[in-house]
Amino acid sequence: MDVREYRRQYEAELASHAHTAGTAKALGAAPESGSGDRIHRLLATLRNDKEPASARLAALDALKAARFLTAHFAPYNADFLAALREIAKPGTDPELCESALETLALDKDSYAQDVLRRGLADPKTALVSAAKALQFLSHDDHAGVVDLARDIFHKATDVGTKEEALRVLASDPKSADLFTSLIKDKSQPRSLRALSATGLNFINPQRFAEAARAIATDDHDYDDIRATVIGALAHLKDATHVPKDQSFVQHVRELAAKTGSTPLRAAVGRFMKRLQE
Amino acid sequence: MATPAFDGATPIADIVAHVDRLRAAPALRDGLVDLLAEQAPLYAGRSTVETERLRGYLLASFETTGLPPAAIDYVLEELESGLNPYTVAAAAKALRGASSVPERAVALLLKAVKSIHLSDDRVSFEGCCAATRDDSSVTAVTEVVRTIAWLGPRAHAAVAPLRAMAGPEGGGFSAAVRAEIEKAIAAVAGEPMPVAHSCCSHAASHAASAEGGGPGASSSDLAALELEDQDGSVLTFADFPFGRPSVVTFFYTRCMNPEKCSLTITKLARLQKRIRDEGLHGRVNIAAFSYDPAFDLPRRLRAYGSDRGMAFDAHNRMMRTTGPFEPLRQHFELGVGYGPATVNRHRIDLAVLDAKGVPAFAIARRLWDDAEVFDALKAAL
Repeated sequence: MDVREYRRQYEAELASHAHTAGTAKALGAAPESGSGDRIHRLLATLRNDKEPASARLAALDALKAARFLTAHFAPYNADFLAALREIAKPGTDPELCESALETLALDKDSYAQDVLRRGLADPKTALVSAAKALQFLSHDDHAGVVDLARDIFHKATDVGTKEEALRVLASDPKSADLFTSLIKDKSQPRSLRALSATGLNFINPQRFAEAARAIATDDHDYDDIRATVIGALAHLKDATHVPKDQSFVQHVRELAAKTGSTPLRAAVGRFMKRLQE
Repeated sequence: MATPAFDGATPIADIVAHVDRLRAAPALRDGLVDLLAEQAPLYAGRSTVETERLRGYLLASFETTGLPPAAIDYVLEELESGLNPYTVAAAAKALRGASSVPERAVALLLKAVKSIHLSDDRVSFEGCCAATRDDSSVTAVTEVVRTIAWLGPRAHAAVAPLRAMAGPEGGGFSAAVRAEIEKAIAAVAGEPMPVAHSCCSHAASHAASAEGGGPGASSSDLAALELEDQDGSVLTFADFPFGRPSVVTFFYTRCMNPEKCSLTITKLARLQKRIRDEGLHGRVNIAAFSYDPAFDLPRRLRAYGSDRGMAFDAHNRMMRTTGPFEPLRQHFELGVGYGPATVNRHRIDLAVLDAKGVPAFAIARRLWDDAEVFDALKAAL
């Protein structure tokens, strides 16, 4: 099919599904090559709080797409960032506000980081959920949010927020103790233990290897957790002396025959293959 | 006015109030310089963005107070290797407080425009650091271009680059910035005038670095410091095969500024090649130490170096301390500060040590050229 015809059909389909005429209008104006007038129109739509949220979201999506053409977009970058900061405030449509904050956070924007951090410290002022705030702040290793993330991990009651806190902490070597204790703690949700395994492997492969070997040989632990740690052990180069530990290798080999778990069998397969390399 | 004992827990508002008092008393402007060092306690534990905002606010103050000679290297450093539109704009404003501008400032201002124009942003220096939106209509590039215009005919060398920016191929600038560029062209196009003799910039070279005078803590303190190299081999600082000249640099793999750590290691690899080509392999050492030893495990050191062309052997290593980095920071008087998890800001630091480990040449706070380091190394043989 001709590309232009495909685009016409695609846009028609999008327009038919659009919540408002404004959405279609914004998409229709999506810039192909950073055309100034179109970007100005999109920025005007994005900034206009009289426009429906769907139209403003569509404008934001179109602007984000245009931004990939960095050189073409450069003249509008300052206005774009200013518009996003205008949007990221109480009273804005939540989806639009979240999208604006995410875009700013990806830019390691100081305003967005401050807003997100304040929201975490004082949930009454938060513009997005704690999980989202942590996720957005985790785009910047230098955001200095690890202490806050650790605190939130301990205080949060929902697993989703705890998961995001652990993702932040995966860049913090001082979190090795926390990850080690979570990996070993069978009472913890499995997603938290799996994230802890990933995090510890990232920041301290040696400690991960020690914890992983204990889990791999624990026949009372969950198959998915064992699959995760054995899979990770298969990719560890320098932190273990696994080939010398024949009893451990034998234990892992036997797992493949004993388990009914496909992921665990696959992980054992990868591990054994790696040993032969 | 004595500098209060600020630290990382001091509320930003208290620091800003102090800066504002100094802004209002230009005779005390040297008090602002004391707050610029990366390792100053007021930055400890702060995030990079918070650190940059504070530094930007401090730098911009020099437009009002006048730029003291001791601050010029900080300003030039930001123009040369800064990527944050706010701090680069602040450095450009600071330069307008200088009574005498170093010769290389024009080239650095033009470089700054190139560095930030794709990420241009609105900037305001009326307040600092709170979550307020900068609604000023002035962008960072505008501030830099205004400084070029402020230089007038002293920036005559900028005419052609500015015309190229304003021309059809220039692209990448808003109408407002283009108008500023046109004004700058008119301002600098007069009869060429000298900028200044090299009056002000310390731009560290030669023995004893710019801001401290070379290694500080005694070498005996350092001798037992345990190190681990890119292969996981453990040694002490005293084990490193000194007894021949060495180049010592600093970096960390999570550095976000490609003009700093990534470029340092890339240039180190070029230096290695030159050393081999000139038949000096084995007669000199190259050592790069990580600022972030807890994160920069051996596999990361090796990958980071290999990706940038480094070859490793007993005389060419990338290393981390297995314990605290502080002894190295003190010994080499490094400009590095830390946030809660990693570095929040660092300057560029390089030293050439003679066969006894005594600094023969040092560079701080500016980009270095592998040829000049090679020459210093050869002279130390």
